[in-house]
Amino acid sequence: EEEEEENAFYTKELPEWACRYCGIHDPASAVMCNVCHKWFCNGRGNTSGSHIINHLVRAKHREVSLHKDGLVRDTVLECYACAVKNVFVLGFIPAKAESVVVLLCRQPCAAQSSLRDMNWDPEQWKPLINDRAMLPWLVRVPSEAEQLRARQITAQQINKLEELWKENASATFDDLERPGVDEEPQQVCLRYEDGFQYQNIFGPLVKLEADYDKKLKESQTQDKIEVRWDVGLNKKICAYFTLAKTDGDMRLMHGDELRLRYLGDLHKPWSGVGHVIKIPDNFGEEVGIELKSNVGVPTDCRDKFVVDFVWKSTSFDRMQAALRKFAVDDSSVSPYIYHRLLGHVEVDELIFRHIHLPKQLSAPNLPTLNNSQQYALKHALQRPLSLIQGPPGTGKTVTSATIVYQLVKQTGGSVLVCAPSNTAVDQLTEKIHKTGLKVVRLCAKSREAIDSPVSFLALHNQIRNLEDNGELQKLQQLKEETGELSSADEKRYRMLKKQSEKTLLEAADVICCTCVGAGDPRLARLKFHSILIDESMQATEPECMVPVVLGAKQVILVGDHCQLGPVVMCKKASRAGLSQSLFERLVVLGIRPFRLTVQYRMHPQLAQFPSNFFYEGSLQNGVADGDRTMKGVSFPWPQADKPQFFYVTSGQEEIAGSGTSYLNRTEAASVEKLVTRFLNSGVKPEQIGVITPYEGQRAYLVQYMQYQGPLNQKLYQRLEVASVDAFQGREKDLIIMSCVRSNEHQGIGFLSDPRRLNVALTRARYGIIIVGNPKVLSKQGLWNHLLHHFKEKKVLVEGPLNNLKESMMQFSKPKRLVN
Amino acid sequence: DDECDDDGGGGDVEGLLEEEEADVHVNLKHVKCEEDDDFMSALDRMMADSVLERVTTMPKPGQLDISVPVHIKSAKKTYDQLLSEGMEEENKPVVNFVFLTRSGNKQQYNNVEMPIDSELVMKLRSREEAERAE
Ligand SMILES: [Zn+2]
Ligand SMILES: [Zn+2]
Ligand SMILES: [Zn+2]
Repeated sequence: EEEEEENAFYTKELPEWACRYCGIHDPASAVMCNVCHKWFCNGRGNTSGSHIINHLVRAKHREVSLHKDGLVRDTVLECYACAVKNVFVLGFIPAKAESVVVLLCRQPCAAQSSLRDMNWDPEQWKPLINDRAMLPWLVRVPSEAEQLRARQITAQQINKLEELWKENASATFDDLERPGVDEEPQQVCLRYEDGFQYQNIFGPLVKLEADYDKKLKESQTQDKIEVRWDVGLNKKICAYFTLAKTDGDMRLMHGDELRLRYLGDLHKPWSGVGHVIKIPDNFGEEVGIELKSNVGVPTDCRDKFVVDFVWKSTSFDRMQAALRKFAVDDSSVSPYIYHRLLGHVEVDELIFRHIHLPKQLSAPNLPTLNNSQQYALKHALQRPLSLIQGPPGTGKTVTSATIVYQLVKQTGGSVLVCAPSNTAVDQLTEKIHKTGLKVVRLCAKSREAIDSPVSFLALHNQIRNLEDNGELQKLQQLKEETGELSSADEKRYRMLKKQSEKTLLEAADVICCTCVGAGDPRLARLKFHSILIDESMQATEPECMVPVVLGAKQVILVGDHCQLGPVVMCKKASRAGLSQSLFERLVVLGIRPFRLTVQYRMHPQLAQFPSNFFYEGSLQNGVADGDRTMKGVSFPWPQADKPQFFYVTSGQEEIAGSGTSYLNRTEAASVEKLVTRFLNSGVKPEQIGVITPYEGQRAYLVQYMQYQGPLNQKLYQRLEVASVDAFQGREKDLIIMSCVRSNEHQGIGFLSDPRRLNVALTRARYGIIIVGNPKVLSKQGLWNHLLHHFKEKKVLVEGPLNNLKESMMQFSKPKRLVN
Repeated sequence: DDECDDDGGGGDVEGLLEEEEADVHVNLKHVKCEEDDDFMSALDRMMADSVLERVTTMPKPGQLDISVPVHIKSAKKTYDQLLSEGMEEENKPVVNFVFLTRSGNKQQYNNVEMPIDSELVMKLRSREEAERAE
């Protein structure tokens, strides 16, 4: 009988306002999404948020209406004053004396002081979304009985349904049964039979990630864009505009491509593609692109533009090509490397006995290597495949550069040097250049306009300075001045350019590029026997294979599997193992990484916790307390000989009741005070780094310091405020960390990931201050340890900066240890 | 909740934590899974991004002559008069409020029933009590 009732519930014609997830159709519980016109209820079923909130978040829609027979009659929810409809910023305030409430947005309307004169109480602003549901007095929450009788939809099914709607807006729950929706990709292995199996497993994962990236980028079109025009030094037209933040997953990067389209009537239809040359930073939220062509650009128009994100398949194509090459081309790597990478255990470890190790294990103009660095170098030179683990501050880059120098001296051939990120490549390029070797930095064409400390080593710049190619230079000049060449000239120009590129690349001792950059067609004909990949734990395995298949006989992977791994956006691919780096897999296969053990970055006090917790206490200090004490800077460290403390704040602020706080004004105020204190005592802004895990807090901190800080705004602008990830591979004299809040439900950028915490704690040279709430943080196993560490050192403090006192706050018991 | 022995150091945080715990109790059928965790962090990000967008784009505040409608002002009721039996199945008493919205140029007044244990209602009540005491 019950079953019948249940079936009847499903088959009965449901009204249009029935929840598209669960079928509940009480008008008082119904909310319509204004973007896709689907209705949802305000019940959570077995998920942690109500159905309407689940939909809005997953579809990235933000505006809603209520039913005409609901608790509040037929209304589009919008701010009473400014009419903004984004429900995520809407809330209400009560009148001071009457039982009236009014719907207002939090910023700027509810923040107006004049409201008080009109007898409203703006301090009592409360969000419409609370506890991941709409307020129950606005939209009724279906009773438990109603919810139990309704369709039981899981979070997984909600996800799939939302995915289906992207292709077919009228899909229903029943369409989920359709075959193909549910397939999970094959998991990565530890060992592979052969290159074909390897390709068969990684190929689909790369495809998944590519599809995800494509979908994400192509869904990012934004309209009503106002453009500011400018002309770059190279005479190319640049457009500047501000993008609304629609999706936290999307990170715009230098070199990305955007398409700008004009939709107004002041000019004929136009669209042009350009590379991103500026992203939002301390100096403004503007995005800048340099257009590829100056022809027909409507520079006299300012508004009615649309911005599309252009997805490029290049990097994924290169990974696929590398996987294919590894499978079919037996000259892609030496047989030894082939079997080792596939994890074939029957292959004995090979040592190059014929290698003649020089007495002087160093490179010109680089610091002499310490013992562990020298061993690492010998280890790497003598083996066809080696892993070097460089914990923070252990001279990884110098060691890598010296290895490269010695490789060139030993083999006489050219060495390919790669890293996943451009920043890491640039750092290493700079060091290798110092040794006097002939270095070429190969950049993607889309990044040629971006300046870096090693721009002069970039291939495109070296060509400019080549002697005896007057014709090429003339053509180049002509092209830059006029914007375009005749087709005959263009042909000649390209031919000459290709020739010079070839000459330069062939003559180079070392070629440096990103891993994906190694798939550049300009390198296709070259063979590299020796390949070094720095920061290799940040690359996915197929990414690492791009340089490896260029003929590797000797591969040196440098990295630290205790720091951050590669970023894989597609959950399916990540779950299947794409986010495990080659470095990690080789460690699991039993290849022992050679660890550098002397750190030169941190004050010994700062190195203690990371050493014990992440490196089995193996880190030794190459610097003494005295080397890492700031001279002439007076700062009230609670323990004079321990330049670190945990600054206890307890003022938590919720953003619209989402359950966690992502914007914390109290912490921002504390950070500002700390920064100001440092600046006042003579520290330069460039010496300070502020780390915060959330984009929301970053933007708020930047704003807050510049407008509320007592010192010149420009000083605060020169300060670097960024996520942990942005600081990986780098260091600062002083680090201030604003934790905001760390809870159990973590996503990208959060500090509960041990590897991310390790990175955060190991950026500072002279001192570190963590601002946060111990009560909340101590629930996490790892943080609990860290907090006890600070407490034992008597550097867990609270109170005004001039009068810091040891905090007696009790910690929470950790809920569980993070894996 | 014997998990935290609070010394009073973080009052409002404690409140927050309780709210979280309560969440779990109300939501009896809650199924914890990766997709749900992703939803929660995506919601947090959407909240943060929305607020951030307002902070960074600095829209002009709308016209702000929001006066309490006269007919409500004149017919001002006391807390006890506002109090009524709730429509909810639990029959928890509720307090009647007027919810002021606008659609386009049209002002709308809706009667809404605020839960008696909401902060709003408690404030209203304590203010009345304070007035009476004077
Ligand atoms: Zn529902
Ligand atoms: Zn929608
Ligand atoms: Zn507003």
